[in-house]
Amino acid sequence: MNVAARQQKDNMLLGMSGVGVIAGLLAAAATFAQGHSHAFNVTREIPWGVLVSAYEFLMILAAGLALLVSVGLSLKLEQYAELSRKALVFALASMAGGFFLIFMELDHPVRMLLFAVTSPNITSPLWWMGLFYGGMIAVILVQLFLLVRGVTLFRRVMGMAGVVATLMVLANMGSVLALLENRPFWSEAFVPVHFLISALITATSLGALLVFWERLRMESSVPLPEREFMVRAGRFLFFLLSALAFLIAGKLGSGLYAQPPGEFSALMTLLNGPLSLNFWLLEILVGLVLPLAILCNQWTRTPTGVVIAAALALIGSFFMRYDLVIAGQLVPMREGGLEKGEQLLSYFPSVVEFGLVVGSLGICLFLFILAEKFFAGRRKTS
Amino acid sequence: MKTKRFAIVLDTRKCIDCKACTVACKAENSVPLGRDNHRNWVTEEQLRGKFPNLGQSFTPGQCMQCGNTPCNRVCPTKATGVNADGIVTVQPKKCIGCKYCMTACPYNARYYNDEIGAVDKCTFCAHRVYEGRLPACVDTCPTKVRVFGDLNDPNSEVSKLLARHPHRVIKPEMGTKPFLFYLI
Repeated sequence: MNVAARQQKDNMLLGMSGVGVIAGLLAAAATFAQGHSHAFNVTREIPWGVLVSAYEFLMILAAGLALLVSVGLSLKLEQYAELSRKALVFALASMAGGFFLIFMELDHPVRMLLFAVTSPNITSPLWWMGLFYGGMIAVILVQLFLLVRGVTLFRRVMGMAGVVATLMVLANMGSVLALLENRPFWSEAFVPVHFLISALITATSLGALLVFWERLRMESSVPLPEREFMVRAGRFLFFLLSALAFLIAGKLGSGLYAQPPGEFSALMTLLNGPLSLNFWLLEILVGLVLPLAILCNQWTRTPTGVVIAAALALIGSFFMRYDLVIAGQLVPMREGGLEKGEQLLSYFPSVVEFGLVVGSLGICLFLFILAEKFFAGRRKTS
Repeated sequence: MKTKRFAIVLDTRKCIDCKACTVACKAENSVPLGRDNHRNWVTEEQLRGKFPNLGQSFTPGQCMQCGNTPCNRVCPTKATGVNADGIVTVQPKKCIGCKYCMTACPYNARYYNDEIGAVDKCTFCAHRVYEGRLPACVDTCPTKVRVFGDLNDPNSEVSKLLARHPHRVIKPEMGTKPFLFYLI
């Protein structure tokens, strides 16, 4: 093993993510200087923009990673202990990136911490979000402790606890949108199920990329156990992407067949409206068709093929979150918000919003690499 | 004594789209300047007929002070509340700016007020009403489109208007039970 080469690769990724962190901090400074209404392109009619969708992407990724690890612990899959540890660390880093975004999105995050405790509203899915995140973080930390210390006792119990905790998070995240009766595009059971499948897709994709990155760092070819993992991950990803394709087809079909008001207009923004490029190119082609094509047969479902499919699926997942959040808001609640002659509202992220999203991804990667350096250091000294 | 339940009844045939109500509201409630910042509005309906036989209607609107409030349900810190008389309020010091209530409102009745650092909306000018005065939009309207009163009082003008005339609410299918009634 070439330690210097490995450290160089780590430092390179640390540097790249550091640039992202700096971009995020500059965007945060711009937000404080200008105020939200000037820094962001959200409006009265479209109050939730790319910050919310990117936050959802990162949290869904974290929940998916925690869910897969929890299932593995429950089934006592000891051979994946090291990968599980990495996945949990990435989940925490992803949550840190997500919390950065939501803290920037909220006008008064400190009030949230105070009044969520002193003035809770238990009918609000957003309130339950805080509780479930806390539960998931607690479970992740205990699981991480058990894995790092090599403690096998309680792993199964913590695995099962993790499954429950992560499913609560995903169901609740879906219900934030699904319980809004006025937004028919969101208001159905599709959203929580979509979130669950997306979580598994993003987590599986990231798992494959983590294995790839580890091999790249080690500058060695993929050993047999990890080859088997990659092929299995590829099969699992194929199954998940197929399920997602089925779900999306069902949503499109029911919306186009009955054309329910509100939902049909929102669907058309994806099919031939302002979000059609995102939808057809990034969600369907990049996020579904290409990965499925790579993963559907044994000749292309190689470790390299799985890595390419995983990267594409992750990109597609990011835009799926964005399109879901924005399409649900482009149809106005009343005509007053429209410019003359327009049928739909419009939204495009501002430079500051882009910067914050880049910053959140940078924070996620930066913290992960730092953590891995820490764990590598501990392994050397122990 | 029965609790009051405030409501507004609108006769949109009288509306001339002068926007006096929106100006009065902004002045009375210190609503900041800006396109997005308004507590009430007037929607221009589609033109009817062909030139020279044309017609147009205008539909004033504001927070519907719903009986089944989606905004109150989703607010995580109970910044949004409902008074006993049905007026839906916002406590600015508890508002965290998540804008969930804005996303949940079927009527686009809410906006984020940068000056107070909270979501803002029509409150039927509660500060005036509790002094025995009328809301600013009702008071200023030159053609008396809006009538304000207590629906729990069968002798109030709003109760009589609703008893005499067929009326509708906006988006009844949402199940929000709005307390802004439009005479048909």
